Amino acid sequence: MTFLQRNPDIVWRHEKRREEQVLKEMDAGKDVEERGTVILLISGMMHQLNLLGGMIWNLCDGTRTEEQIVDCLLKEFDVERNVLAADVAEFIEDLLQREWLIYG
Amino acid sequence: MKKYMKPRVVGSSNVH
Repeated sequence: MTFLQRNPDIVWRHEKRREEQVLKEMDAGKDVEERGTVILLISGMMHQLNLLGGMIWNLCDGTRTEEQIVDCLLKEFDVERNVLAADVAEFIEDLLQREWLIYG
Repeated sequence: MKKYMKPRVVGSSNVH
């Protein structure tokens, strides 16, 4: 019961071209924290996740624990593990409360 | 290594 998975009732899309653009802008030193790279459609509302949120969302495929997700992201981002782990925990807790993520 | 940002829900809007 520790593997995280997306609620199968949610329609969503990974905007890969937009993500590529966001990564380019990030390399150019721009602030891209507010840019959405994953779109979720839930009961008449459209929600967007930023780059980190979208990467976590993509990793929640039912094969990984929270700790494994932190390990994946730690390889890609310049961040202390304890900072990343706290942010990931907070984000996942929020999405579990919204029932966007579930334990599978 | 990429520059880190906090994971967040960044926008919510009505579809209809």
